Amino acid sequence: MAVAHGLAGEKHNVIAVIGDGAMSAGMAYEAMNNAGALDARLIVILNDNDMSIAPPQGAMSAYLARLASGRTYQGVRDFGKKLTSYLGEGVDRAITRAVEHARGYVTGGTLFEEMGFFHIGPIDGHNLKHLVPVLKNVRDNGNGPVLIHVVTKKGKGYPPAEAAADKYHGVNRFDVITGAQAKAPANAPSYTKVFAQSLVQEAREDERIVAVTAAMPSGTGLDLFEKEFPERTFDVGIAEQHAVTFAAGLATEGLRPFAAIYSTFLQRGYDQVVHDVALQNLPVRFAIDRAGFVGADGPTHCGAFDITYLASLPNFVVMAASDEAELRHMVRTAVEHDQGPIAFRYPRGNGVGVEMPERGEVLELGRGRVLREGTKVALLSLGSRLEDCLKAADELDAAGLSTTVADARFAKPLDTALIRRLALEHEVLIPIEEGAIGGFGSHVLHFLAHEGLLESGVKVRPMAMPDRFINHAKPERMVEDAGLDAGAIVRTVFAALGQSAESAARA
Amino acid sequence: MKSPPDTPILDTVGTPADLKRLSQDDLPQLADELRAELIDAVSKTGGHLGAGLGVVELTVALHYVFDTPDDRLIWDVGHQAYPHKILTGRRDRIRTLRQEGGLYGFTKRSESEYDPFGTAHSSTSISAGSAWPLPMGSQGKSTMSLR
Repeated sequence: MAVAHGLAGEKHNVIAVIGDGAMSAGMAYEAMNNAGALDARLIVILNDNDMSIAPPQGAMSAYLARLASGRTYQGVRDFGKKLTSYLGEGVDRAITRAVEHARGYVTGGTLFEEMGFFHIGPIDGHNLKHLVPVLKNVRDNGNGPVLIHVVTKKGKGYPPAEAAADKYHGVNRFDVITGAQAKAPANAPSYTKVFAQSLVQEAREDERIVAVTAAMPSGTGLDLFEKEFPERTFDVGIAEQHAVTFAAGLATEGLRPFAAIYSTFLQRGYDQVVHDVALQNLPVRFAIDRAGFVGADGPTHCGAFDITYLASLPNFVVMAASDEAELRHMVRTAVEHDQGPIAFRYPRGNGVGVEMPERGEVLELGRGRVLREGTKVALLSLGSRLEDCLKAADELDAAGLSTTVADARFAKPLDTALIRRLALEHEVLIPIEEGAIGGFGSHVLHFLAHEGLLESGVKVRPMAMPDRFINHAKPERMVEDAGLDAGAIVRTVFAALGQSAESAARA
Repeated sequence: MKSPPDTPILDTVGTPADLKRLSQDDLPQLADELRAELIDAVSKTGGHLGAGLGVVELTVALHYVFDTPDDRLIWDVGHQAYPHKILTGRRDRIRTLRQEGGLYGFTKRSESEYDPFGTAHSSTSISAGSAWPLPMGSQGKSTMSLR
């Protein structure tokens, strides 16, 4: 530490503010363990609001609550002594006063201290008279890693937020006076809800079905499942690695676990997917919500990579739902699939408004479906791009290009018979997906290349997300930016045929 | 409630340097104004609200006491960083939050030198933060630049 400061010539403070919800993830402990060992000059502010997105889960949360309720109080004098030993004699008396007024405080013997952090708090995070002197003293006197336990109230100062169960974690536009949120009229149920309802329906028939979420019960729809099957629902906290391996463990006991994790968050548990699930060929069902573009939450939440990172794994079955009825079929298909891991992805937002089957059917593995038959152009869609394919087909048909539209359903195993036929019977074949390069289209191309079908004359133009991160915008604008909308499909077809869209329109 | 709210003290704070010029006695009112501004902005954009409301005072105190951006302040997950954005030169764009071409809903390095690390997925702050006090990470002034 001294060496670092010597080299730096001046002292910089580093402050990390982390919520108690985020303290359920292993990475926080990996980092604290290491920071304690490095004796790094690091100020961790534990923002304890006893709430992340959903009520926090597990022993850590209970531990913090115990600290905050002051069961491990020390006397003021002991605290002052301890603080002086850490901060030096120059310690401002205000800091001890601050703590006297707080809900309680602890020093010594806490988990954080065992990890090499000096532990201050808990202090009232809404009282500036307490916060400012504590922070000043730490700034001016401290050395080595320190953790300041600050107790706050999520939604503080806005009555509608304070009163709401989720403390207005994420909101639509709203009326400031009433707190009423705007709600866009929906013509179809959300995919999330269809997933949850379908799983509940299946779980009534099959008591082996259990569900795992990593701190996203409402986001994934599993709150509905939990309502009916509380003892079969496991919210493991923000801990995707654990969620995946926990689900793997459940599968070894003959249960039928559904791990409902957003595409972007499943990235956090990838080795567990590979090593604990795929390698052992355990039938964990992955329900992958928010697959594809998600809109305002932008690239950090974009579900871009799941097809790529799952379809490359031996033993995996990978499906993508093109509408809400397909999703219901895929839930049922996953229930019945005990041979190994299976995943199904579906987008954020509402379905397309198709008629819903009473109950899902078990889909034949590796079998797609053809929605309309044409002769010149084939659009082979996986998942959410199907609607735009149908729109593009209308335009292409109008321009005299008879177009086939197929829904692959499976990225793995591929419907090789369908792909072969599309390649042999059309001049242009467009595999398309709402995912990164290296996914479905790559598997199709690989198959075509090895079958010699690329030499048959068909012009293959796979369409996937471009090799860059797409900035936040409305989802449909992100699709446009990525070049995956109906217009882009039409242009790609014309380009393959050596025509511009304008000349085709004139013809 | 007026929209936008009256914020006489907040109006004098463009960056944390302005904040430091305030008397400590002004901070509670600044916090109140910051909270009103946050509520008004998110009522128009949608987004994360509860977490930001919970750290209004903490945000004020941190920027008052520490010397950002030379001191590195990292918000884990970043969904609670809207008040931080308002105090660090981005108030004029706060009503573009999460809209196309507007501010991002989490911290983002390319958006501001006051965002030393991009976040959105949880529990990364201590890892990134513990690297900076080390020799390579702490030489001289902030090396972060706007891209």
